[in-house]
Amino acid sequence: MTQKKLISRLIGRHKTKADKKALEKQFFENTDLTLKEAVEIVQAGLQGADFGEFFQEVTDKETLVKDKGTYVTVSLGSSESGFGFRVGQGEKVGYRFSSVFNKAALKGAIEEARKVLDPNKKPSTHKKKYGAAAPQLYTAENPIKTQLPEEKIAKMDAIENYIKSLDPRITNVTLSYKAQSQAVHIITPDGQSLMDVRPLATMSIAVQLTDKDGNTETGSAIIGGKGNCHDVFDPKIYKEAAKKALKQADTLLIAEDAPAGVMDVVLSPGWSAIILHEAIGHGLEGDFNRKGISVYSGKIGQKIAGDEVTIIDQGDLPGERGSLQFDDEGAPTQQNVLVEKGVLKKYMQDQQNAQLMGVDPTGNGRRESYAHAPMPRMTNTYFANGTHDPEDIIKSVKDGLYISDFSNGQVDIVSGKFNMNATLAYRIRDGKICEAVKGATLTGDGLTVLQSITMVGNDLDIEKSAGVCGKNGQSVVVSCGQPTIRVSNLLVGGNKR
Amino acid sequence: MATTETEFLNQTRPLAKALIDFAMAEGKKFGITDVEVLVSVEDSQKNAVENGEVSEVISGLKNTVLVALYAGNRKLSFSRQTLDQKELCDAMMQNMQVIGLVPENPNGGLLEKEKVYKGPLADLDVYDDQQPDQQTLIDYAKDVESAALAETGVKTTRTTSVSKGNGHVMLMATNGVDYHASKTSYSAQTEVIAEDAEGNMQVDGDYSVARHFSDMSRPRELGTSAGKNAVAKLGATMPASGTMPIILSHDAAEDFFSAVYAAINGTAVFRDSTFLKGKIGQQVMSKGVTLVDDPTIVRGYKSGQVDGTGQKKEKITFIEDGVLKGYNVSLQEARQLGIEPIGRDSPQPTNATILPGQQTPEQPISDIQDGIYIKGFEGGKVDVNNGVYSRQAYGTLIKAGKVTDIPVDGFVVSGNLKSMFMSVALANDTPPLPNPKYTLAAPTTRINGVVIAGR
Repeated sequence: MTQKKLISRLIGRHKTKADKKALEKQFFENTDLTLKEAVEIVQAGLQGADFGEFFQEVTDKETLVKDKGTYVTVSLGSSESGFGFRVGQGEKVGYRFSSVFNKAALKGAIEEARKVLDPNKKPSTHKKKYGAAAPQLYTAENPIKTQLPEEKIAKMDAIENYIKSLDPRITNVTLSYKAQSQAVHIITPDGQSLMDVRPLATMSIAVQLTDKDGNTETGSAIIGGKGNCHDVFDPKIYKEAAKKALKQADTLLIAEDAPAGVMDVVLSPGWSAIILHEAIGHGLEGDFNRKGISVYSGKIGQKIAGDEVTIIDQGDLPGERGSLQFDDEGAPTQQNVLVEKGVLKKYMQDQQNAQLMGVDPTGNGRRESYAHAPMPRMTNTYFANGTHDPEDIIKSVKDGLYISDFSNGQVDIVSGKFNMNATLAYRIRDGKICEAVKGATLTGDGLTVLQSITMVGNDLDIEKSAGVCGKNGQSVVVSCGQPTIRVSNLLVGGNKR
Repeated sequence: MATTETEFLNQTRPLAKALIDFAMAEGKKFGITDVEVLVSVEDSQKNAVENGEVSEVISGLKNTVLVALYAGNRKLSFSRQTLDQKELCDAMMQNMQVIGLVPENPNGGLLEKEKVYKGPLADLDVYDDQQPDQQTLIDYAKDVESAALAETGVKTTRTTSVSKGNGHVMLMATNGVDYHASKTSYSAQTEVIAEDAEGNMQVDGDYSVARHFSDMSRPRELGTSAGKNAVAKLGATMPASGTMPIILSHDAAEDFFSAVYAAINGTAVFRDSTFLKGKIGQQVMSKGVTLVDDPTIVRGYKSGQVDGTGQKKEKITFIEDGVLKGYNVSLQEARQLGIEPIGRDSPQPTNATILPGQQTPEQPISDIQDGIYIKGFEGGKVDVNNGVYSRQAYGTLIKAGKVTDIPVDGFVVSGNLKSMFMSVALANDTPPLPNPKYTLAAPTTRINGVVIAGR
């Protein structure tokens, strides 16, 4: 519930748009190029290619880490900057990047990248789509420049003091504040010059508790997300997060080892959707399906889940962590209904895989940085609301597990097999949430899980702060969300003997 | 064209000197006492093939300068991706102006002058002077792929690629550190899809890494091995649940023993969040287990002469005959814990070896009636605070003292590292380093009394 309030508050504040003039200055002031010249050179460089683009970024970064009372990392005024040029022809891609940006580097990159092109092939006539999603989805304010470092340090000190005051058993507090502002510039094959600023600011809070026998457990929480750093330093928000982390550590201290076996599992709203992201989302990315190697390949139009299951990836949600005005190929983000009432509708695409599969791009072409070529990736992925009251879902389980906090997970796209780790879970007995258990691992395969979803709640929550997705060595920020969901007969691996 | 070491030094040595001079001259009024500059330049390229044709060529250049400014116990750092002196001096000036606001960190300073290594440097031979051209790399990738596709049961490859990196770093600081190093790196990997008659697919692969191209696995062997790995998984079922002994392959053992590094990590020790805290000198693993971390191996993938602070890197035995001898601490962590720094700057293994045991690889298996031969772990959870070890795994069944070819997967290996570490038996087949695959080389390993969660 709290998360929903947050969403509406943030939406109200997203009024600051990126200033294109200032960005143009930032991108070109130290070069021997003007924007107009760059557009002309890139346009010429993309001749004959099926797809491609020029991608440039200047990403400001700052990090403050306080561990056991000492600032162990203070990094201010860092930036990553450079450009990449890409051309593609059918299944082939040529990409060249450099941290040096000037006319010679751009021309050299174009020449190098174009080596993969077959000059005798005619460019594809497949329809592409470029431009920015409207309206503005997030503020363009730079979290690094809106508050002074000393203000942030003073606030972090206050957060630490607050947390320590909560419980005398706290033996360590670790606060890790990270902010960045990624200014991007994309020149598309149709000659558009798209600029955007993507701000991100988060703080992770780790609270270590030690009991009288010397046992320790650490609870954690993460706050902030897309946008400025105001949320991170908002006492209401950090106090709630600190209490959550503390309660997690406290519960872990008394939690028993999780049981092992097949049981009914109820997934809490919000971050539990990492199971959707891993077990289902990755398998719906266009590159795997173009090659026919996903368990979901060739199943468009088929019923793969119950009527209550609708899955959406949506890059144009206001204020969400995975939102983008346009993707990293310059395509507008949009709402993509992947599974509607149990029927598989579409895959997530970048320009290349959309062309090769003969479908429209979906605004899912993403990359980690200028030093990486784009590929189909998720943005904000969620299960849509169902009809059930979350209380009724818990009541329906006779003997099972309620997953409250997942940590991480991964998937094998080809078999669909996944494993997910729950930091904290609770036994459900006769419809009631009972004792806490730790160390539960859920395993299974995505298709079977989809078919085993028996109840979907009406309490959708999208997680804002934590999602980082890795694929082929590239990390991008994402979010995932879901209402309370019941999955029958999942395999739980635990340590209880 | 890749930058040569001479070109690198000609361009960046004057830059590093100028940056240090600027900081010490202009920084006086801000209380600047020390400065450290790390310059790195890396050219990289990746060549991917698909169905015998080049599918993706990615190449690029990345220049990075990392500056750490010190005003007594105050430390402020930043990095920029440029070698432009004016831009870097401007950034440094901005940071110097605010360094007084940075809280003090008594453990964050540069390495003491007398600990900075100034002696002769051994030639670790981690720079390849015979760098192959792009076509040679592409041909290698094609050979890997065609060998994989030739295996019966292989449907296709998901990806096959060969990458090359050519990097130079220079570290210069006011405590006398003046060090540079050049490294080449090669990596090849393939992911192969196998398919059975019913259309069920399985994926597996193989990879190789080396500092010299000539040290890489032979491409056809790599492809064949990847193909066989994927085909071997076809028809895998979930094994029955129960408590049983497991045998770890070299791949699985590398993964398992990396948990030792997590448990001896300096940050975890400092935070009291590892079960090995306070256990120096105690038996924490089975007798016979010795873990040696050796950055001095010629052509070793993780070899290096000095660490990121200027201290010499030397061979360290972290575990000797099962007894914990030391923690893997950085300079700052050593100071936090009040111990001597050890010349390490990463929580990862450098070139690590679990020394061979006494038994042949067959001996630890011979008395197992029902068990599992683990070929690999896939994610899961390793918590060195409470010892929880919970990993999804795949492999084949062991029956009546023999490893069968009956594949199993989708199950979870559960245990507690505190007892698993004490239930280890080692075979005598540790792969030698340098190795075209492993940076942590471990023998075939048996662990008793592990909980398998299956059907």
